[in-house]
Amino acid sequence: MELHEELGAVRRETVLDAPRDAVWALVAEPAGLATWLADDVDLDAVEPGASGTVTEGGAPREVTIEEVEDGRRVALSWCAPGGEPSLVELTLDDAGDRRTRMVVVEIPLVTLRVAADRAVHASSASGPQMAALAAA
Amino acid sequence: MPQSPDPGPVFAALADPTRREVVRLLAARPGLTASALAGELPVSRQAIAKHLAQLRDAGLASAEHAGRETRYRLTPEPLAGAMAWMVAAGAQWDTRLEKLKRQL
Repeated sequence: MELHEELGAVRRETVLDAPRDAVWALVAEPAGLATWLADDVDLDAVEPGASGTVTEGGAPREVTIEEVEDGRRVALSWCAPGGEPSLVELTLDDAGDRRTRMVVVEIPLVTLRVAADRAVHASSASGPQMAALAAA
Repeated sequence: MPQSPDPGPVFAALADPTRREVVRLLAARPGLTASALAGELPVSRQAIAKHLAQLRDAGLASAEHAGRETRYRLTPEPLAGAMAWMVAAGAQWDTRLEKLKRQL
């Protein structure tokens, strides 16, 4: 099962005109994230378990870094006050000619939990990592 | 149009493929009974009853008693809140990715 096939998931894919290590620097460091993810990123590090706040348009969201796959993927969960908690996955791949493909998936945690429960009931040998995360 | 305050129950209701099938069938043929739905899908009547209860809890289905039968209809209004969440989240990512491109 691909996560972006889940109803409720938002998916964006874009090819960036920069090599993957240049993009990774903007994804895997709080100062890098602060240049594009939100107006303000208050996070000590982009490491699993790190938590803090990102503020966008004056609205703070609590954010926790869930998974990091060096050079390739960051998964974080976040929630605005009174908003819908969701999981965000940022994935980078080489797109050739020193360009980088970035895929963003944002999915409500509740959607992942239902998918995780279903995977358990179906005795699925390899449930999606994000679903396991959401169930944690 | 009143905004659904919390799209969570709708996302939970529609995260299951059987419930999505029930929604599709009720949209096409309003007034189906649980037995009729079970006849269309590879699950038991009891399972359908459970799925219908979850759809009703999320505000996506209503039940009408007609004699000894209970007929179900889709009530799609809560979908608006879930759609609004997706549209807003998508628009925010478009903005963020434009900012990211300007950094490279």
